[in-house]
Amino acid sequence: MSKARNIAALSTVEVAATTDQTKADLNAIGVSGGRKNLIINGGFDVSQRGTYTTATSAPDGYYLDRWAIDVNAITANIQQLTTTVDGGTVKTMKIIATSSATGALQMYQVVEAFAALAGRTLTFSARVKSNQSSTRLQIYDGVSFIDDAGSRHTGGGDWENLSLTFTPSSSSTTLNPRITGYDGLIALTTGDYIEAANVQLELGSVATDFEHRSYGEELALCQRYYEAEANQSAWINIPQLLGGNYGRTCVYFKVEKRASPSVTYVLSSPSAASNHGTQFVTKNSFNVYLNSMTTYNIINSWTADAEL
Amino acid sequence: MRSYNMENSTAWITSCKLQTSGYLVNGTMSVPNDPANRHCADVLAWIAEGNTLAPEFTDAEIAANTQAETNATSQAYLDSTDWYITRFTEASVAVPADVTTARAEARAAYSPVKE
Repeated sequence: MSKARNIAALSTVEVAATTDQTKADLNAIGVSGGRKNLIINGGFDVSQRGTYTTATSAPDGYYLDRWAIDVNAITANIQQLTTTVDGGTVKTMKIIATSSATGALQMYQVVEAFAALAGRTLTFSARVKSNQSSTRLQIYDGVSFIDDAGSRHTGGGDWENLSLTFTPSSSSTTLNPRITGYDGLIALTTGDYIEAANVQLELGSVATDFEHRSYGEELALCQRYYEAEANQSAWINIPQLLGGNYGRTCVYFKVEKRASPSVTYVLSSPSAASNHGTQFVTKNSFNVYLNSMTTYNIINSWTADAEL
Repeated sequence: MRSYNMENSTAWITSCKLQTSGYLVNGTMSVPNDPANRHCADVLAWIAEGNTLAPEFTDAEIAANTQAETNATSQAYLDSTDWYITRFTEASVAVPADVTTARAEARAAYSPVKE
């Protein structure tokens, strides 16, 4: 991507920052070029674990790719919505309290390569809609929680631009950008919600326009952390030299995983649990063994989870 | 999963047993023995809390697996020699004595016994 194209894409705020922009100027105000968004699935397009177009009960865990839901003392629903924000159609993720208590309601993402960001100025930004005045953008770095006045929502129920500029320290043990109602534990009421769109984390002190990536590109980024196949994908064969009735098959991932993943699979002809399992689970593949085979068997579906 | 203060949680683990490549959690999830895997970290925390891993195979499962393998081997032998029976029925060619003996042994080894 050429520098000229980057300059053309600058927002009016950034253009006004200097009359004669050079590369040094751009660096000074912290404007980064392509691949600037360190958040994966910040547009909430990818949802390999399921379809949440209707509100779905959401205990702690992962739903839309790379985004964890965390509730404390309450119950909540999650929903993936398609809505209009700033005149454009976008996907959003909404979490809604379905009970009342003093607790917490939040969505967060764990950034993998956080160590390389220590000492560098970062800006976390998002479009957020909420009816809870404690809602805010926040950073948890393993040591402390960081937010400020500009990162807080009014709770007025409208879409608001929130941003937070911060500098992770070398003592950080993690980097969790969060959209949260957490300020200690707070009084939450049934119907309280947080809805987010266009979430971005970038180098620099300025929240620039959201970086759109294609669905395929975003999916590939997500598959480093989670991959699923919902269709029949592998026959279990009996290797001739293994002898007996020992069946084996190898499933290869489309994308190398962050770490050896946790694996689940479903067989077309269920067998006793002690009769089958996984072997050779690596970042690139896993094997399923099935002993005492008397009929054909297929891997009906599988998941591989290497989330942080 | 993590609580609001991002600590490891073990509440989601209801059962855990050893497996060749790590752990079998809640009967369906194979978790590799890799501390970089967040589920593995939860399992290690679960063990540290004083919970006990189930063995990879119980005595009953070992017995069942052994019998299942015997059944599969017996079934395969019976299937591969059924043509002797068909030939005898259709062409009156006697079944070799060693085959008759081996088929009887295969049926006897099968559980429940194939009469």
